[in-house]
Formats: sequence, C-alpha cells, structure tokens
Amino acid sequence: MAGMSGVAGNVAMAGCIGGIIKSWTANFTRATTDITGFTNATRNRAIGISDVTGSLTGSIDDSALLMPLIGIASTSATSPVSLTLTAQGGNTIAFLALIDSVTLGVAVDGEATFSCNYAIASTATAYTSAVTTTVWA
Amino acid sequence: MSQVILTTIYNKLLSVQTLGSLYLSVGGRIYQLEGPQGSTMPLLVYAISNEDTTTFMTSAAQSMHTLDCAFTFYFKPDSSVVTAMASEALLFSLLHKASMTPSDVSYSTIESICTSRGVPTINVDSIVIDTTYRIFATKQS
Repeated sequence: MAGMSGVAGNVAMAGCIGGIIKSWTANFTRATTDITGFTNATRNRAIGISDVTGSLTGSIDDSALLMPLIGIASTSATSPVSLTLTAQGGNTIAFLALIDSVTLGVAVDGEATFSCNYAIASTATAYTSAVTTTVWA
Repeated sequence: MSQVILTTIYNKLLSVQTLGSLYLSVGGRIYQLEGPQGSTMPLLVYAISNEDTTTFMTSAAQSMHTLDCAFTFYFKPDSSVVTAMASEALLFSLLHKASMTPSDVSYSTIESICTSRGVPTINVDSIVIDTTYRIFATKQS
C-alpha cells in the first residue's frame, strides 16, 4: 500500500486522444430521495442509481489524434466511447462515456490546451458491468 | 532549464553576421549572464529569468518548456540613442515570432515571441535597453 502521484496517470479513449493529458477527474454521484415516514425518528432516504461525470485536460499537439475527440462532441457522433482512466499502472477505472463538451484554448503567449467533459452512457444492468475497476474493485 | 535551449538561442543570435546584423551592431560581444570584466561597450547580455516545465501523464513522449529570456543592451553614454534602439530592433526582427532549429534532436520545436521591448535608460555610465522574450520549447523524451 502506498500513496500515489499523478505522474503515472493516463487516459485511454478508443480511437481518440493520445497521451498528452495533464489531468483527469471522475465524479461518482448517487441522488437520494427523502422517504422519511411519520413515525421515523430520523430522516430516511432511498438511494438512486449511480452516475459518473468528469473532465480531462491536456495540451493540443500537432498529431491527428485529437480531431476525433472534437468529432465526438459534435452532433454527428452519438455513440459512447470506451474510456479508461488510469491513476497509475494497475489502478484503473473503465466505462462507456459520451463527451458532451470540448474546449480548445490557444494563446500567443502560452501553450495550446484543451479540456473536455464526459458523462457515463451505459446500458448495463449491473454497476459492476457498467464500471470496471482494477485493484480498487 | 535546458542547455539545448540556451545554445539554440545563442546560435540564433550568431546566425547572421553580415553588415547591418545584430552581431556586428554590438561588435560581436554577446554574453550569457554577464559580460567579462572590463568588456567594452556596446554589448548584449542575456539570461533566463523564469522557466516553467509542463509535464504530461505517463504515455506522453514530450514535455513543454516556457522560458522568459531577458536581453540587456549596454551602449556607451555618448552613443546615439537611435543607434542603441536600432540594435534592439535587430534583435526584435531576429527573435519575434521566430522558429529556431534546436541544437539537439531531443527537442522538436523552439519558438519565441517578444513580450516587452523596453525603452532606453541611462544607467550610471551606459545607455541600457532591457527587453524580454518568451521562449517555447517542446522536448521529446
């Protein structure tokens, strides 16, 4: 057991961006509904289904690899991609996701950057099928 | 900060040595950090004043380096200010929006832009012009 930095992190996205990633985030959320009864002593809640959203940031390089990423954000691309987020070798999270926004930034006095947001898009009937992890399972 | 980048800048400064060049306008006296003791003016001294390294995650084969490079011209106080400014203009034409050939193949690109051209000032016994350039370099691992 050991702490980790992001040095050995990575993002793999089928047919899309390569290895110019600076950071990624994954936000796991579940909505809750208040189902407190009249006789309950405390609040009672029911848990909703899981959601995963997050973001990627990196630099634009001059390869063609980035362009499909832009395509995914367009209306012509509607299928989710297989997204694998790596914290370090062996510690990964994988699921199908849709890229719902991409921001490109180019400044004359700095590097050319991009960021994009994604959200899980899965038809799996079990969470463990929708989101697969290694080590952290 | 990379020796390759410093060498590349130096090579660029010396790349043109014909009549009317920056090199000849300072009598070939171009130095890093500081000029030698007793050096005569005019001269040009440059130094890296800031360096940022951008690292990417593990599968990336490159890193990006952004440097600020400060150039200082020294001219004799009895020189014409116009002469000093002409020398600075030669540096501007050489480095502003310039793409340089890296001195080592481990770097794929080195580019520069001017971020401050400065103005002539009197500093004790010399006319001084400080000017700053931002250097962008991509290193392949």
